[in-house]
Amino acid sequence: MTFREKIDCATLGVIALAFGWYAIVFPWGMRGTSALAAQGGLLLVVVIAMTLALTIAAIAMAVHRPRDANAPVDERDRDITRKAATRAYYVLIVGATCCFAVGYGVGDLAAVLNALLGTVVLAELVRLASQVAAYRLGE
Amino acid sequence: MARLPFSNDIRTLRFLAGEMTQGDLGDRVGVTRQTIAAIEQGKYSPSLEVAFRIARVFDKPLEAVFQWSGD
Repeated sequence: MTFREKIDCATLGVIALAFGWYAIVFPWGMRGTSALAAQGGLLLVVVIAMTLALTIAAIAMAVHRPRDANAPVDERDRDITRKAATRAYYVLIVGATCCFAVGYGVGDLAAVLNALLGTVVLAELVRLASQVAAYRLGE
Repeated sequence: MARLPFSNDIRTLRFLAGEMTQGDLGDRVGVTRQTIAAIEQGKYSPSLEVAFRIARVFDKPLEAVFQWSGD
């Protein structure tokens, strides 16, 4: 398993866990500015936790296999990255369009922002899962 | 994932070249060991440049390394 593949797996797991926790603890019944405040607070916790977890994971993997960590990106890495980003882009565009279309009807800023956040997270999960699958199974 | 329409003899050629490792071949070609492994297993279609570089390492023509097996 390459360093990039390990980082992709770790990021996939950390994002799924962090935003899974966000979805569980967010007070979905709340509306207006209090919902926005809860959103901001929870996002701050999620971002800090993700940054810490991924920094520690990257350092641990680099210390364990320094040669892999310093390996330059080759054409397969670039190819896998490009194809995964294309798949994620479609998810992002469709999701964002749906969010804006539905957002006009809902009228609650926090709900629209949560939907947009969900779209971004889903697109990122698709990108990372595509990369992991491509590294494991081939394109 | 779709199978590639060509096979290769990289594994045999590595063995004949003094049991060269995938890592050694990768270093000489300019790709990672994992990319050489993926090419050998038919999971990745290399660029023409990398295909030629692999053939040059073994001092063989391209068709001695890669064989077309599609329609």
